[in-house]
Amino acid sequence: MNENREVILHLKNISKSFPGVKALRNVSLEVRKGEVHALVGENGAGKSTLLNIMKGIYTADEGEIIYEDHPVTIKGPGHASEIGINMVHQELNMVPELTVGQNILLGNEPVNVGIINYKTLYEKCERILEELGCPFGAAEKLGNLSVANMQMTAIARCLMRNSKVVALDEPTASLSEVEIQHLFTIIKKLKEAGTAVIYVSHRLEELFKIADRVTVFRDGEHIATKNIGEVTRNSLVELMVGRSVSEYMAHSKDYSTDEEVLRVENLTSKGVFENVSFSLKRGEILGFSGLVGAGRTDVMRAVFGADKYDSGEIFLNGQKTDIKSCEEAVKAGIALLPEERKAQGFIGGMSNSMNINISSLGKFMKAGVINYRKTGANTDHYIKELKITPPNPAVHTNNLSGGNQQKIVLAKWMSVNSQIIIFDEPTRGLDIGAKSEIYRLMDDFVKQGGSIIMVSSELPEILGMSDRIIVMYEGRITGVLNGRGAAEADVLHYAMGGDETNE
Amino acid sequence: MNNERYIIKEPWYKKYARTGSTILSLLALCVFFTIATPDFLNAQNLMSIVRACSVTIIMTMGMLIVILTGGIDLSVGPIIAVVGVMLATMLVGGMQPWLAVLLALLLGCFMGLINGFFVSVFKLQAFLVTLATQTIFRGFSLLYTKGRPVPNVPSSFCSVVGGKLGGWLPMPVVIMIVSVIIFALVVKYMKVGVYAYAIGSNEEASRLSGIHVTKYKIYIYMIDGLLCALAAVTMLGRLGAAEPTAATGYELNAISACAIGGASLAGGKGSVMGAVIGALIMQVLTNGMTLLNVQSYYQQIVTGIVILIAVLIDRFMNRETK
Repeated sequence: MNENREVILHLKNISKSFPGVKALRNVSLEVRKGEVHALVGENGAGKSTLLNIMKGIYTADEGEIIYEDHPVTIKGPGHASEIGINMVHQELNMVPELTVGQNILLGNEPVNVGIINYKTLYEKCERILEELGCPFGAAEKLGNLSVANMQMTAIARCLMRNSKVVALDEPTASLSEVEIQHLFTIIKKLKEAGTAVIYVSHRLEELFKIADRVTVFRDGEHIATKNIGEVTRNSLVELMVGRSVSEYMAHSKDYSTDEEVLRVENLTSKGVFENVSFSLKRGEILGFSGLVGAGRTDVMRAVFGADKYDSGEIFLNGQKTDIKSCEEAVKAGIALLPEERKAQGFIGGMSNSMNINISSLGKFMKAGVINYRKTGANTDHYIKELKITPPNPAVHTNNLSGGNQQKIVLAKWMSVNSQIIIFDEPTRGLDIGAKSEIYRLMDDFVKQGGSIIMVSSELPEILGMSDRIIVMYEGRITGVLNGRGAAEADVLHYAMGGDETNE
Repeated sequence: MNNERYIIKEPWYKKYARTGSTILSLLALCVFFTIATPDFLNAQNLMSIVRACSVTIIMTMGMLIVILTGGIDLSVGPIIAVVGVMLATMLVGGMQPWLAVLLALLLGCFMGLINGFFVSVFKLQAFLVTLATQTIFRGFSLLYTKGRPVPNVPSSFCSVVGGKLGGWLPMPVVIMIVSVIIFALVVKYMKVGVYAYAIGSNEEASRLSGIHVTKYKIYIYMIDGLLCALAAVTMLGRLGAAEPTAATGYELNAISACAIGGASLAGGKGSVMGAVIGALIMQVLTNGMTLLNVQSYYQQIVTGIVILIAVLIDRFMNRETK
């Protein structure tokens, strides 16, 4: 339908390598005016790298960029903005301390003889916010807004710069259903105005509502570009993974025993969570469901000793414990794989080997001296067992894909022989292939007698992996369900605050 | 998975590029001064360079481990001064030298503990904490001595610490080399060294990995204090008298040496080798320029430019890997 639309941006035969990883291999992407072009692929497929090249953050090793029929060299993000290429990042890089208006016009403030004219600035911004139908004003401090509204601000910033190409990287990851609808309306407006939109998302369902064409990347290579009408969800998944994924949840058997390894009683942290009680059995996967902000992560951080709590008791293997720090929790055999992998899970600037061994160094020491032969052997063992790629102990963990980073964190905890592993959003941001691998590893872990608490906001994950499900709402446990055969509706009912007694 | 795309290896020299470039710069400087002046390349002059920067190198290592954690220590100079005057007083008072030195080292650790305590327990910024203790420690050394130097340190101490091993190798150099070797081994092979890098790279992830960040940060500032005290001992041995105003501005030399050697003030990056070479580069510059009769004002300008160049090199090298 848009075959004859004019091509505005053509990335031609782009290649890019990082130390240890060939991120893109001879990849091309052609974007037309007024189309929404979806870009999909597993994590590590090279989408972000390509976007960063388009934005001038990285320089391509090979290939050329043709923009409005002329070859260009994009010198940096500022230059890209200037010529009309803008991007709304997954991690919104804005300044929370400044107002919405200041953020929108950051770097382009209207000035009179060097002095910022705030009147004009706010007028301009109010106009664009109104156009977008945003429920907040330009004078609001950005840090006070919800993530969704920050996203709107980021989009407003793109519009303000007269963008001809806008790239949205996982824009709906933190948005509610209503906000997503709103976003789509805005995208349609952009389209009508002739702007080209590059749309990166893991939520394939969305693409069918919004995209005109879709390009699939896999392992740094261009696999296909199709009109959205020519594909189905399943055929897209197949293109992305390179094989058909029918059953990728690995946990089909309940390995729970009667032995209680962890019991939490009346755990309370004022204003965060209240009277949380639950128990965990050896071999069990205990799912924690609920809405974002229900306090699940906070409970887990308290159990792990990362945050303080006001009252309540924690029993490990029947013994009352008084864990006050993560160090003590780790010693007691509890481990946490945080939701924010990059910020909390591993140390990006260190090698895979160091990240795997960092918590278990004591095991590989004699008289205070680290034996690097032993740590190396441990690393090799886990790289092989968990199939970490690249299988290179010296590569910095920063350079790995999300799934492999998660495996590194898991290897770290397996190295200390953790008995209870808390997975907070274990597969967040991971693609289907990596997800299924993490599920398999979780299944292996409980099969061998470990216990898992899994906090997850993804219903299929909760329903497919949990032996038992606890649902939280606003800091309280509202329901406990049997994992086998639990109905989606029940989980949702409790997650929305439904009372147990109502059932 | 398609493994083929991961086979590309990092070139072998990449890993050593930063330290390598520092070493090359040092050699280039030496070659330059050798050509420029006949007085530069001889055993006596080279030895005097190494001896002159022994104290700086010892202190720079303390600074380095703090910088690795993302911190900084502006109080190294005053720590040296306080330890210097206290040690001198004890020695003049007739205390056994070995005991006096031991107490001096403990005092250094204690002052590091004070810094570390405020930085890690109260989570204050290292720059501000050590800015405050810098003034406090300096004031203390002036108060303790009423602003006067402590002279006449007994020769039983000076002849050993300030003497020469085997009649030719100055003791300060021996102390420096031994402490560099021990320090490098500690950084590589002990938890405290590895954790310094980890904390500097990502403090929260380190804590959630079960590292007792508070404890190790205090240890690290204590190591820093210990090395400053060792620098003070070495300095007193050479000079034979302690000044309450000694070591003024030394913190800047130490930070510069770390920076020239490739350490990042953001933490997590830097090497012992680099910092030592960094200190040597600064000393070679001073020595060579003095031999060439370059005015000291120009010397300062040149030193500043060298620091800028080093930081620029870092910038470009980091760019490449991005």
